[in-house]
Amino acid sequence: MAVALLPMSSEVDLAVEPSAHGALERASESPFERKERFERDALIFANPLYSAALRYTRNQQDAEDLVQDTFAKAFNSFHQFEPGTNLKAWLYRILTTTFINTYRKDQRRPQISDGEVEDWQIFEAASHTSDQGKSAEDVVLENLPDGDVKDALSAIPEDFRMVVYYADVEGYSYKEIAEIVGVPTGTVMSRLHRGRKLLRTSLTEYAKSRGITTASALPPSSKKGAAE
Amino acid sequence: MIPCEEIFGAILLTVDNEVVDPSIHELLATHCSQCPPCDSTLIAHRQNVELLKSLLGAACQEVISDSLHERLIAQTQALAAQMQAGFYTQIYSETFSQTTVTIDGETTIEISHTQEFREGF
Repeated sequence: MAVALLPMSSEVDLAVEPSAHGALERASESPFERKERFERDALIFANPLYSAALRYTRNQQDAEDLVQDTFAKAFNSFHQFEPGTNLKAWLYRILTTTFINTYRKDQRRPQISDGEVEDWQIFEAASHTSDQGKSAEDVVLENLPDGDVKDALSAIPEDFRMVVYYADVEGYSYKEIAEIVGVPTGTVMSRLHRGRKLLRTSLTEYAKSRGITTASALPPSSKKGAAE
Repeated sequence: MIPCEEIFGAILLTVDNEVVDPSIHELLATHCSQCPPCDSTLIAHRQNVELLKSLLGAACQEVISDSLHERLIAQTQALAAQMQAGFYTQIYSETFSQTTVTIDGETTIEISHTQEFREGF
């Protein structure tokens, strides 16, 4: 039903060498058998796929169309899926390519600089300050309504948004995200780090706009250091 | 001692359980035991990631509408039926044409038919 926070082992490999025998068996599978297997194994991921689709498209209608297109492509290619490997991640890969090819085709999107590695190193070195315990801001953010959290996520650029989604909602490893999104693992790592920072800033803005401040959320004894 | 900037990469990997080489754990532990700012950074980063995971995990629990559910079931059945009929939906359009020429060469009949297969219903 709900998005399961699956503890994915890093051994899960999307690109497992397909066994010729298995592929042959699946190729000779009858359409009825394929339908049964697809309904049982693939369609159960409709909710998490829709959840990811909403993160991509940011509106319900397009997200529903994207999910439907994704399952149509997946059904037609289902013989290519190697049983025992990560089916949900395979579906996410199809979702991603479908989104890029269909829904993003005509959109002008800003190019993301990939000088990200130095970027976070410099940033972190500069903000290398000591901070003890749970910050006052954490307490504020914990109380944000779900709608604000989704809006805050929607507000950050797609490349960062989706990497954060796959890591922090689905619990995928860098390697799995790299395969879903189609970028190197180093890029996943830097996008994830930057994405989390952007999300944190975005969440803080939502908290401020709601008038939730660190002062109102904290007991008087708590002390907060310098602002971020 | 290893510079703090270099330790930061190890902090990110550790919090995401991405450390492959166990010596990285030792390196990080040694550094943090001697460098309170990096130790705080590790703790703060871990807390931040836990916070984001809990916020996002709770917020992003979408459930598909009944109508989408029905469309997915119907689509799967229709695609299976098409496959059963020997069609492959990867082929989006197909043209059949037939030309018949009679024996005396006077009458020519051309039949042309284009059929499109579409995904989505």
